[in-house]
Amino acid sequence: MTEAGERRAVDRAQLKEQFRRYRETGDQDLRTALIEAHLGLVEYLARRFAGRGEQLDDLVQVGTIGLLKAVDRFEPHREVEFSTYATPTIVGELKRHFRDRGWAVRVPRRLQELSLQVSKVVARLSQDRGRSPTVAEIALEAGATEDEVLEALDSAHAYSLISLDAPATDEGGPLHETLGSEDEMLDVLEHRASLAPMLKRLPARERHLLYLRFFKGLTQSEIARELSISQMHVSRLLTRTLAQLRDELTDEGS
Amino acid sequence: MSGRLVIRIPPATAYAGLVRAAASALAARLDFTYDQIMDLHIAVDEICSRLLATTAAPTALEVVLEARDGALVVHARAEGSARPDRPFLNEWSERILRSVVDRFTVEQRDGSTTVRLDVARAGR
Repeated sequence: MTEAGERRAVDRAQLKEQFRRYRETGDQDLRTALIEAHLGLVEYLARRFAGRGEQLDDLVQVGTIGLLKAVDRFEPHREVEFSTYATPTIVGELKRHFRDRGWAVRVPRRLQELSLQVSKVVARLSQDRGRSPTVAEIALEAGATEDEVLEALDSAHAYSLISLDAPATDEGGPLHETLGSEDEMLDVLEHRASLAPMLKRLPARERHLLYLRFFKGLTQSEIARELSISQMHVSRLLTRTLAQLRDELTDEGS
Repeated sequence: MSGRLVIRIPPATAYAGLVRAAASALAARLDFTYDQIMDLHIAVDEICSRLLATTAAPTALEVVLEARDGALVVHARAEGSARPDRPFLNEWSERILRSVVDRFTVEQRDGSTTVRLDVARAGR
């Protein structure tokens, strides 16, 4: 065995012994020491998730939750290294974090960045020209190919990209001032017993979007302007909400 | 420009993405606007899911996309018989389709439902 190899073997044996003692005594100082000894692992894993719209510091915090769980659950008598045991727990915590925030880890970063850029270009061109831009115009302005722009537009349907440029939470603001007008929508659909309650259950913003698009006849760009969100975000919200209603209606067999 | 694309997909809404992608590619060649393409996505999703929900044991969806003189014409049909207990259109899907395309027609042919959508290039 090389010198370095010997040192690693000693470290491993020491670590095992520390875990064994922590298991026996529940000593909190020992626990802290074990956690601190593995923060490097958390940071290493968190870096693999960086660049997806989250700060590395935040990701390290999230990953550390996974580390805490791993430290408390690790059985030192098992023939497995702690780092091997802890890695899936930490990665699982990071993935859950992205999932909870509406991001799917599988979406390539390139596509996320492209979507963001296309979103900005669509907003700018719509404003400059007073109309919705064509794909060729978006491509020219974004310095991308038309195929790339199309890919970004298609990605509006990926649930995973929903929180790309705005929080998906319900919000106040100008929305609530106009909510009364939605009575018209609910009245029209009242006789359709299943739909009205589904609409009522939607978050206010989503319900308002449906009202503006399908009852007031506003275009997606007009809605974006009215709600001060990007066109891409309007598209995503509409797509998601329609899919949700569709699933519920199909479940009910209508 | 003109062109014709024929797409046959398995009977699952998950494959509607292929139809959306083909429709938006053709729409881009026709110089459709962002708003029109995103509305086209909504229309494609709606007709695919309605065809599947209202056809008994569908075996496939066939969608034909045609570019004609600055307009896009979509024909869609589910292979299988239309369910008599579930009409293709309900108030909601009718409202959606009316909002997102210029014209649509629904026909029963040989026991199965065929839908046609028409969207013209926006005047600028």
